[in-house]
Amino acid sequence: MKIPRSYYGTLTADYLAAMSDISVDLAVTIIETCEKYQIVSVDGAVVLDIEKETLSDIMESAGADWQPGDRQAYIEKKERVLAAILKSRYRNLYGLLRQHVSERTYMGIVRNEILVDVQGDDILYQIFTSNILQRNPGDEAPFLEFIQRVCSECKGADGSPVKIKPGCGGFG
Amino acid sequence: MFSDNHANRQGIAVLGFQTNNVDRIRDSYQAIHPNLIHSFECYETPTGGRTKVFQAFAYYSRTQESRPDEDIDVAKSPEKGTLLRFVEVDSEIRGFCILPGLVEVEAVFDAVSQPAYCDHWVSNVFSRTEFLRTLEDTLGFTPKVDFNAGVVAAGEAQIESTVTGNDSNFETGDKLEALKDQSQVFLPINNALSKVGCVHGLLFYFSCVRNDELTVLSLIPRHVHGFLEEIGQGIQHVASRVDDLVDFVERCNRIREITGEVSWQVGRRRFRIIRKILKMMMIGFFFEGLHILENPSILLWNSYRGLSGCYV
Repeated sequence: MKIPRSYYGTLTADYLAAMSDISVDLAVTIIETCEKYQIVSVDGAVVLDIEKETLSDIMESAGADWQPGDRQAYIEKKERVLAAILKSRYRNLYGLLRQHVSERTYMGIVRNEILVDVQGDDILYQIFTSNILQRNPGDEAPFLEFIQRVCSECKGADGSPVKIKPGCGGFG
Repeated sequence: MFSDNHANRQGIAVLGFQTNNVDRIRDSYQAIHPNLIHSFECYETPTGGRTKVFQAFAYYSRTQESRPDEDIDVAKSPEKGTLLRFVEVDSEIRGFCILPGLVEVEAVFDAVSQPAYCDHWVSNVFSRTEFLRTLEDTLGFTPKVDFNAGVVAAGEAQIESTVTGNDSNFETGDKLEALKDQSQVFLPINNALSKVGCVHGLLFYFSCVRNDELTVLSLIPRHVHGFLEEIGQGIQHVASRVDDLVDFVERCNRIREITGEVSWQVGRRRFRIIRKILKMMMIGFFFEGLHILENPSILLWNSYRGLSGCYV
């Protein structure tokens, strides 16, 4: 099942400006640069395998053509800008899971097109296969689902971890 | 029997459960839903142990009088497509397999295999309440309202979905034990409320409203109406639990890449271009055959190096 990148997160000028503390105009300039170098698609999906150093080099090179004020503002906020661009790949997920998940896991979720659902303090990861036992293309057919239940690790009133119960995280 | 009752399609014909009291389940069916009973067998093992197998049809057929989720009190006949199979094995003969030539062995997972454990099985039915009632009458299953109950929608597509199951008291602090536990059975049940959702090849993405809480990032393929119209009532999908889904899927995808099974959508026109390119690349890599099947999105190839693949 193909999951649109917008599910996980895309890069927008408003997001980049807010996350980097730069003007929206500069954010637009940066995104246009990213589009020019094919780091981001027209729908805002940042290339998954882009490295921070590569991104920095491209911005460094492209920044020579920017207005001096923009270039100076970028240099001042460079680290935050680069971090925001990279984080935009999973910004929607980050809104749900925050720092409970490592960047490596975030990227694994996006790269492998895994669905994430949060129910209370529990998380459900899901993925669905294509149809199986399908006689003809386009026919309805069963499929398989694989899930991972991440149950709450919160502490109970007595200070001990809450017990894991079947079905934590729900069914999506 | 399955295909005869499902438009000659293949599918998931049996849901099997291991239980410690087949007789009680059999009695419940006999008392309340005798029309659903399929068979009961008791197998004697060479050591004198017994294995009981009781089978019942899962669903009633869609009668002329019935409409989705209407209560019907007319004589109902089973839909002879999907079976529930209940197996009880004498504790002293655990490890003995009733099938000839097979012995039970410990499951071992090496570097290229990973364990997955049964989690839930989803049915698409015409009458959700009827199936829920049947499961409650016979197995004592009750809706698990804490998880998911009610109407879910995506635009015009609407279904009703309820998760039912037994009342397991299982709880643990051990993640591995929770992963492997099979004491809790969950059976989500869907019925369609609208005719939207049957477009071939498209899976609907939607958010799901549950317990007054909007689950914003829930994208679930639900093609309930199309499934029911084309195939009839049956198991829409089975879900298995794994320890680390990211790792599990990543490993699958890497193995697919290594073995050459990658996701391509190859139309006939593009196929001709690809075939030309491949012919030009035949130095040191000789293709024995290159075929396109009736389905234009499938490309089969074989090579003299012993590689073969199927691009879908």
